Amino acid sequence: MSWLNQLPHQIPFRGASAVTRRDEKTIEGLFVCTANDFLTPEIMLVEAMAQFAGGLSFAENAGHGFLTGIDRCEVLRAIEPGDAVAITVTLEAGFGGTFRFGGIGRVDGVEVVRGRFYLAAPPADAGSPADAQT
Amino acid sequence: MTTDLRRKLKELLIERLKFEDMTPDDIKDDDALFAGGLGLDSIDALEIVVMLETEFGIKVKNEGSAREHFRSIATLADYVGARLAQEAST
Repeated sequence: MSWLNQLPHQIPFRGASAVTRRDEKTIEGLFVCTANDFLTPEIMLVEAMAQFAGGLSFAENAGHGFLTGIDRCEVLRAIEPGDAVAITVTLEAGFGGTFRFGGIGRVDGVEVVRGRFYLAAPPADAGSPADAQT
Repeated sequence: MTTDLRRKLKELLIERLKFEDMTPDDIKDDDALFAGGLGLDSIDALEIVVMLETEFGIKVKNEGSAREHFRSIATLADYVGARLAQEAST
């Protein structure tokens, strides 16, 4: 089963749509903007980048992290239905259960978004966010 | 050296953590950096770790001891000074 199906975010709030490459520190994938997107396309795009960061860090353990911060994020042009944004997210640093990622997105090779994302791993005994909601 | 290092660390913290209205003189050497002091959080701790690596070549791996080293500017400067001295002697 794809880790995308394990994300706590599912349609209509799942922006990450396909992983095209992945290694220990980098994940690449697509965000495809449609006219049916639940939120403003730019918001969904940034959310997709954070979801890829989560997939890079936590999917191996079938666990969940928490998005704790977004910094230096810039959307360089409007995102429109039909745009397929190729996203690359790289793990830059980690310490004490907090991880920093750098993300960049391109349409047809032209950069349209960049940003820095922070995710935190929950304490081992805290369970997953899904557990907390039940 | 110690005074210079403390001031350098204050300048770096202000720059890296974007304390826009703060100057090095606003941070006392023994002020707590985290809870109750400057109010730094886990993201800031990560940025300090990155800062130590990029600015001084110091890799922080022991999370337990980092808690004590990151307590204040004074303890952080002591830690950086000791690590730099250690590197210089090897």
